[in-house]
Amino acid sequence: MIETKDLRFRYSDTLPFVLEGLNVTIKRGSFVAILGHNGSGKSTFAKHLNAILLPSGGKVLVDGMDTVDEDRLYDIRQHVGMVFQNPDNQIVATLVEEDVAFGPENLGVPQKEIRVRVDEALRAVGMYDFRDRATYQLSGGQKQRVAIAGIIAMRPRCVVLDEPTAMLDPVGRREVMRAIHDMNRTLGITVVLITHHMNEAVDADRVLVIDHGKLLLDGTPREVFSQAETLYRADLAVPQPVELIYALRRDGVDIPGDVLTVDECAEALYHLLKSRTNTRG
Amino acid sequence: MNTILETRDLHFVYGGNSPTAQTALNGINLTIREGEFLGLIGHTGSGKTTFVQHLNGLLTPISGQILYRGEDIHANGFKLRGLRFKVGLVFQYPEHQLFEETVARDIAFGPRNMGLSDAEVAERVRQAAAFVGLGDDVMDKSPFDLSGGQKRRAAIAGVIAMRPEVLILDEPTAGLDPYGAFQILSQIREFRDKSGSTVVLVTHNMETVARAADRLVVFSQGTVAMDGTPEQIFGQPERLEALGLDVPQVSKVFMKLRELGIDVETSVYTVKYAKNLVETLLREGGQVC
Repeated sequence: MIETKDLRFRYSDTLPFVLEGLNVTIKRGSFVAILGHNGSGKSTFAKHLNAILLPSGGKVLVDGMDTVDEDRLYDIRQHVGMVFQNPDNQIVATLVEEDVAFGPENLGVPQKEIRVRVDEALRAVGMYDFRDRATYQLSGGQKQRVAIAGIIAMRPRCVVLDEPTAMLDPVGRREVMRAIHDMNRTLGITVVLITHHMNEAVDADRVLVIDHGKLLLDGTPREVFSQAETLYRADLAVPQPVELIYALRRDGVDIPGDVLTVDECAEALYHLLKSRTNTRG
Repeated sequence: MNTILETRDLHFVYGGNSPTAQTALNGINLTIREGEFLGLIGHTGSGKTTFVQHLNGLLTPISGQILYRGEDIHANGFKLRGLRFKVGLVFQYPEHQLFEETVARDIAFGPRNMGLSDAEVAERVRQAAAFVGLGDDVMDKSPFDLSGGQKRRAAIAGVIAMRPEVLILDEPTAGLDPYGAFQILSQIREFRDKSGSTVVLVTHNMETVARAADRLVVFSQGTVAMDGTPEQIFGQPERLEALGLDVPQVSKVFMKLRELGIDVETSVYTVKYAKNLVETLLREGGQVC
């Protein structure tokens, strides 16, 4: 479990606060998406979760360990792994399996155990068949999955991913999202996904919206995306099905507002159009 | 409309005769008309970037021709240097190429190399900065002190300041949030409308391109797989998905509606269009099969 208590942060004493008192509890095994526009503070928040940044005020507790406690830094980093935006900056070895082994090797894990972990991690992200490939030959989506496998092999409790799909094409994005969900479901690893792709947040257990360093919304995807007006004001988009229903309702069309997915939207429109014809025809 | 750029049976291979040679372009015939806003889409590895790097002579084809206003750009006596001022290319992640001491000097780099007077350069820098929405307050800052979105704008302004006849942008919105992407796109659209320049936008983001382009060309495996208006292209969602592209979610809603037995067109690709369509159907009493 990760807990932030009145977390405040600024990059220097003369600059304004980027985070202005965030109180967030992330439960073990959950899948939390964090939304916010560029400059909202969402990446700064993420970097506090494994002590890359330390609070200017307030506290961050990782399984009870305070991130300012230098003696626990090693444990904290092992508990909470990070995956960044650019896959090319995260690959360190020339072969896929060597890259995945890098983390556990540094933790001093015995050779035999490393073999087991590397295979398990590569299977979890669907890259086992590529284990002896050269990393430079991989596509962006494949590299990103190898980076995720490298974190999984360190057996963290939680993985924080900072816009892991921002540089990928639709195919790569789908592959990486599937790997992240599998990691959460089958290995029980807590996922904190920073994104500005609304569609990626729809499948999370919980969505946090950060705006100007404050928590603007916190709830299930359905609860959060039903606040279209608030999201627009924070310069965020909503998924297209939500946007369509919202636009229709604003024009006075009588259609239920709790729609989130493509199927639900089609379903709602179907009933609307059908009932309308029946009454006329 | 006049043809400004044309490619004839363009072929390109990376790695030449080596065993790892990879065909990137496999016979591209494409005509780009003066003043159009062309969206070039395709998944990674489809050849989009390789193709646009041929349009101002950065890459030389192994066979085929590139014609600029009817002239072969690789013919003897054709001035390639002059072409690069007319066909301006904004690379992927152009902010990595910022290098000057101030934003103003960085934007001025291109026009200065064109041999323009100081007054003319200053005027072009001012106008280019205004097009991309960079205020006077940032012009004397180091480009490295800007935010990601501002850096991107400064880099685009550097190309716009050369007043190219054709502005080519390779993934200009990659990595930006939806609002930042929307802003940059609106500014490019406005630049096109005011300057009359031709714009070629390379992207794999379908929702981005749906809002901006007059014409869409879909690349697949180094060939042109589809070419038409956004309505024509988005009217074939199954084909797009087969080519590894994302169909806008709102298009999927209408595909689903058809499956459920409602006779609606599926060439819906923006939320605004979808809303109007639903409201029209409601007024007319719908067309349920």
